[in-house]
Amino acid sequence: MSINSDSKPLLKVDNLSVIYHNQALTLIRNQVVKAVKNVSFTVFPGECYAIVGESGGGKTSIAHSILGFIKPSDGTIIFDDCDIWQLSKNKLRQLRPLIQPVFQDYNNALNPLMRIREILSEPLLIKGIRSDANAQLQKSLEIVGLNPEILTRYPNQLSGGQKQRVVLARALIMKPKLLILDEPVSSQDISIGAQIINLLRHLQVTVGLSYLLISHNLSVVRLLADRIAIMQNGVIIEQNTVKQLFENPAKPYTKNLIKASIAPD
Amino acid sequence: MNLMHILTLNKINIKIRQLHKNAAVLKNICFSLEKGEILAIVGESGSGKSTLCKSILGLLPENFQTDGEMSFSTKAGASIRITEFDQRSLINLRGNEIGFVFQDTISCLNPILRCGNQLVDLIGANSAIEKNNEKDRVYELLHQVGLNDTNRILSSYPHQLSGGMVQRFALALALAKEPGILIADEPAASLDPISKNQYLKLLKQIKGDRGLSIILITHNVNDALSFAESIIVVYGGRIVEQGKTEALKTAPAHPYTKGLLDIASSMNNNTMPHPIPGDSPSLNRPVSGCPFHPRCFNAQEICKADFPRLTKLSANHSIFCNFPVRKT
Repeated sequence: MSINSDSKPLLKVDNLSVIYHNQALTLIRNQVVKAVKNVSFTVFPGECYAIVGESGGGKTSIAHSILGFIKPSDGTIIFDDCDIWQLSKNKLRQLRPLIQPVFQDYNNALNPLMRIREILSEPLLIKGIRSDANAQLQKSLEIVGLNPEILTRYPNQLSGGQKQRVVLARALIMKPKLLILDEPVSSQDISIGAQIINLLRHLQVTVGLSYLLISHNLSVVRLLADRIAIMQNGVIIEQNTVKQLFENPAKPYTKNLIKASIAPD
Repeated sequence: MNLMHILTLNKINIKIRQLHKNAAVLKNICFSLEKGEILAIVGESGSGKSTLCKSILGLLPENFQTDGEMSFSTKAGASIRITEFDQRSLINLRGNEIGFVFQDTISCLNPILRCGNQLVDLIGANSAIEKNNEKDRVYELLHQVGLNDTNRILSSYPHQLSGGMVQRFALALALAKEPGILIADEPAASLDPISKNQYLKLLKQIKGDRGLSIILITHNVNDALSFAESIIVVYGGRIVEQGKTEALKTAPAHPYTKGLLDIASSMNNNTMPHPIPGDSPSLNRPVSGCPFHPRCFNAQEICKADFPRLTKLSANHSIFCNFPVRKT
């Protein structure tokens, strides 16, 4: 994928820090955990930017502050020329559909009491889109390669791969610009994982999506990402294009990570 | 029964009793675990891997019905049949003879007890160990699983430990009563690659030190290939291929195994994988004949009618397929 790095970034994260306060101990002393420390990166339109690091390294905290779930203690997040944390509630509500999350645990991401039709049309109803809801539903199913007959089923009647596709279809129905993929293929076996990787690659080209990919699986990241940031203890220790990172890893941690995920001995 | 076999499962069928009909989860499972080997059970989510393990431990809920025969040789050398056990004997079996580590480790630990208390409770329940020796035993166990910062671990609550540490601590709990078999259900699925490799290496090392036999359940073919001595491939509740790792690695014969290995190798070589077309079967819509036939490139009419019979390719490699993949 060729990225025009002169173009305007879609997402610009600048000097982001996220702090968690340890509630139980605040009375005694103000104990804080710095999950993310001064992280800066940009995602250009049409690009897949990956954040790789150990569990508990702060990857998901970054995703949550971009989505507006966790207020960062410092730094700015600029999406499409708007500073997410400076916007009014109303403006933020308008911006929200453009950044869609796809979470790791697809089993818990779907309401077990709702049929697939209700799950997929819920975001449309909230936005007050009723007239062509059905057409949009069909279209998003078509994009992810699902048969419309599943619309009447409940999530527990679907296979793992189908559930993952429904989660994707729901994210796509609001026509987002950026998808935040949190471990998109880690919780299932590789035959489903391979389908999802192919689908994500296909969508990137046909729909023109940008991805922020969060993963600890470097073999997946290598297939999808254009640029990679390696995170350790809340700090980005290295960022580079995929090719250069794999050929010339600068930090020992990166070397270990590449060794461990590509060729387990 | 062969003396080398520490656990033998013969014609195990597991059904879920439902209101109107029974749904078959596992059909005709036969395999044996050799003493001192790591046996990997590979399959996708929902193929029945975890159900199989829980049935060995007698942990399935009441609406699951298990038929067939499971025999097992104890540490003392006696041969017993698990399937004839009542709940009380099963409780004795768990932990003492068969240790287990589950996937979601953090929720298996008591969140309001310090790790040290949980370990001492378990060891203390064994009357053979004197009170004074308890402490030595605890330290020894923790060192064995690679947790050298013992005092900190023992005084922490489970949530204060990192993912890799919790996994190791759970392993220490599972090994506390020195079982002969360890069942590990996706023990490393949620770990990052570095901690995962460390953990699996540790398993292998402990296996060597103690002469443990391990059943490793995983959906990651790469892990199975690198760490197990034998592999069983499960698809749609059936064993489709089983054999020594070397045989499976060099000549996968079942189209499903072949597909999985092809994806794994193309991911390792940084090329886009060719996914296996179609979707996995669900319990509500059982597939007749071979469960893999709707997705199989070799499938013919005969595959839709009956499940194929066992074909022995060599002494330690057998498959259930009418049209196996030929070596190229």
